[in-house]
This record gives sequence, structure tokens and C-alpha cells, in this order.
Amino acid sequence: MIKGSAQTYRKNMVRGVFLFILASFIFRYYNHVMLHQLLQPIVFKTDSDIAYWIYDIIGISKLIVQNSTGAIIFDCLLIFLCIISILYPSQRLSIIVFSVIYPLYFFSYNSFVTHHTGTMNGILLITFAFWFVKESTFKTLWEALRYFTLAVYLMAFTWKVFIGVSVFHFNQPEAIVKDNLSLYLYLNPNTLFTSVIYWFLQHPLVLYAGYCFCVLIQGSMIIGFFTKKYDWLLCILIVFFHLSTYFFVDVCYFELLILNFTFIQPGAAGWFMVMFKKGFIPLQKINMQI
Amino acid sequence: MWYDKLFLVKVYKQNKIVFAIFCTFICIISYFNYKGIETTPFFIWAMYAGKMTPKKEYKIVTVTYNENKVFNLPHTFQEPKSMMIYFTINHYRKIENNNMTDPLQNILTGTLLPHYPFLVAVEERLVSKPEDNARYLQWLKKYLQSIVSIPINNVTVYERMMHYNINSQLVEDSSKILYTIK
Repeated sequence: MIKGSAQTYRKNMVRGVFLFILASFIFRYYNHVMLHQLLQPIVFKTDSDIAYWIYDIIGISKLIVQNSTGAIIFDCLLIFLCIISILYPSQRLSIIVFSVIYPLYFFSYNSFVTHHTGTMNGILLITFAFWFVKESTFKTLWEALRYFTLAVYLMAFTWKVFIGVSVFHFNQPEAIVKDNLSLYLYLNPNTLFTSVIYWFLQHPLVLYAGYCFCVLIQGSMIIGFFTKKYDWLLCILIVFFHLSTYFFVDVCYFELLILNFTFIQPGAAGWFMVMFKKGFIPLQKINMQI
Repeated sequence: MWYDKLFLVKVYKQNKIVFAIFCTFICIISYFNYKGIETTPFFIWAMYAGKMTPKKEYKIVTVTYNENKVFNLPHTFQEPKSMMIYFTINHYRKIENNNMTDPLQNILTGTLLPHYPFLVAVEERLVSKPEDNARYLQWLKKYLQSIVSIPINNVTVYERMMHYNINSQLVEDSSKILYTIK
């Protein structure tokens, strides 16, 4: 394990985060939702979010969504910037350009899917921390992002327990499962997963216990505000939480896990650089150029 | 002092401008959470916070293509393309039920424009146009074709009414065709 300096830590984080973003783009390419794959969509939803209003008023979608050539160039640019940021983590140009143009993908997809999804929120924010190379500034922003990550889950806990009080509603998890999985249950009546879901629906107490546990996981993030000692545990709990929602709520929020990078402590990130120092020869060459 | 270890205190001592930015961010997020209005990037994490009760009847939309092939994305990791199909169908239905006009148009005309007349200048950019909306179903067919990767001759969109019986099993009550796309 390399006991890296703050600069090494920053480089590791840049590489890790942009590898994650690259994985997100592969996931989105597989799902036919890169902008050029949307085939010049028709309907869009602006809603009451002022940021979407600005996006619509600027009219950038005509260039990067409605124009097939523009969409291809835009998608290629996103991936190109991602790769450059992985290969050359010390420079900032590709990172800054990426941070500026990624919101355009974010707004475009959310507008044309007619639902303002939250799964890309982490990617939207995390790259801004890499705009700064000065050790103290980067450290401050990175730590702020860590607190933001904790706050995301703590806010969800607060909403469920104190504002919406849904956690005290016994039928809540049953209603969520029925709302989200009816289509799956109808189209796939004979799968093992269908049998499992029916079993849970027949045992609402078990479902409710699982739901309460997930809400408690969200609440447990408060620990992170007082100590960093249990960050590894919080990290695992967040993954467990999203796995639960993946199966029981039918939502794929894996992209939000990018915020978990903020839990990685400087010492623990050194293993990543080993790959660049001793690992694959092409990566070794790249590392020598940096 | 104990508060010297607090993150915001450390930031205040280090850089007052950054401290001001963080405080502003926290204040805005708190305000939007209080008001329940989301404005990117000040997100509200309130999913499933409101009380929900199992419904007596569930309406689901299903899609078939090339006569009777069922469009089925069984895995949750296929959610983005699934949303691109089903969410846009639901939004199009709202548009159709509103005389092919974007529902936001009603809010603009009825509530916002009388108070903020300057929005007239940008109104047409905020809503999808009726003539564009009319092309949605053909887009749906084209997009579906790109997903299933075979030529599609026709698409049928159904609305199915369901309920969960006493054993919590899903039972179909009835169905109707919403759209047939040639």
C-alpha cells in the first residue's frame, strides 16, 4: 500500500471517479440512452425546476439532442474527456470541461425521459471538487462532499421519519412494492424472483421490518458527522441500501454510489496507484508520462 | 475548544469565501426542503416519504410489437430504457388528454404569465409543441425498434387493470388498447 501524498490521493480519486463515470456511460450506452441513441425524441418535461427552464430557454437541446450529428459529437466528447481525465489526472482542463458539459447530458436525459431522475446527481456534483489542485482547497471540497453524501441519506431519513412519517405506516413497503413491481409481476409470472416477491407480499411484517431496517441505514449516516472511523461500514451499508431498493423498489441507483468515493481515506486509496505503477504495461507507460 | 474540530469552523478559519459558499448552499437546500420545491442542484431526497397505501386497482401499461411479441425488460438494470418507453407514454397520455398540449402550458397560461409577463418571450421553449407531440407515437416505434434490434411493423400499447387478490397474487381484470402504431 502506498502512503501517498495529498496529490497522489487526488490523482487516485480522479482516476477512480472517472472510471466509475465511464462505467456509467457504458451502462447508459447498453440502455440506449446516450443522446445519439434517443433518436431525436419528441416529448419533454420541464416541470417547476428553474434549472430545467434555463436549459430549455438556452435551447441547447436543438444542437445536442435533436441534431443527430451534434448528439454523436456530444456523446463522443463526454467519453473522450472521461478517458483523458483517467489517463492524465493531474491536469484540470478535461475535468473542468467535463464538469461544465455533463449537466447538459443530465438535463437532456431527464427532460426527454419526462422524469427528473436522481441517479446522476452524484456525478453532477463530484467532479467539481477536482477543479482545484491546491491541497487545502481540494481537501476542503472533498470533505464537504463527504458531508453532502451523509446528508443525502440523512435527509431521506428525516423526510421518512419526521416530515412524511411514512416509516410509521405499516402498509408503506407493501404499497411501494406493488406500485413498482406490478409490471414485472405481470410480464414475468413464473420466475423465481416473482415467487420471492409474492412471498414477501404475503408476509407484510417481514417486508415492513426490511423497510424499517433500510430507513435505519439512512439514519445511521449521522455517525459519519462525528467520526470517520466507521466510513468503511457506512460505505457498505449504502451499497446494501441500494441493493435493497434495486430488488424491492425496482430502481437502479448504482450511479449515486459514486459519492462513496468520498469515504475512501488517503491511505486506503494507494492500492489503486499500484496498478499504474507495477501493473499493466500500457498503464505503466501512461503513468511515466504524467 | 470542541467546536474548533467542526468542519464549518475549520473552513471559516481557512477561507471565508468558501465558508460563505457552503453556508449559502446549506441555506438554499434547507429552504427548498422546507418548501418542497426542487431546484437542481439543490436536490430534495424525499422519495417515498409520503404515506402510501396499497391500491384496490393497479393500472399498468404494456407494449407489444409485431402482432404479439411482448416488450419485456425483466431486469432492473434496464431501467433507463424502460423509463424512456413507459414514462414517455405516460407523459404523452397526459398531453393527449390535454388536447395535445403540454400540461405545463396550462400552468403558464393560467398562473405564471399573468404575474410574469416577460415569460411570454420564452414560453414556446418551455413546452413541447402540439405538432411535435403528434409525431410522438412514430418516434416510440422507431425507438422501440432500436432497442429490440429487429424491424417493427406495428406496435400496440395496452392499459391493463389489475388487482391483488387475497393471496397477494396479481390478477388481471380487464385491458384496453391505448394506441396502435403502424
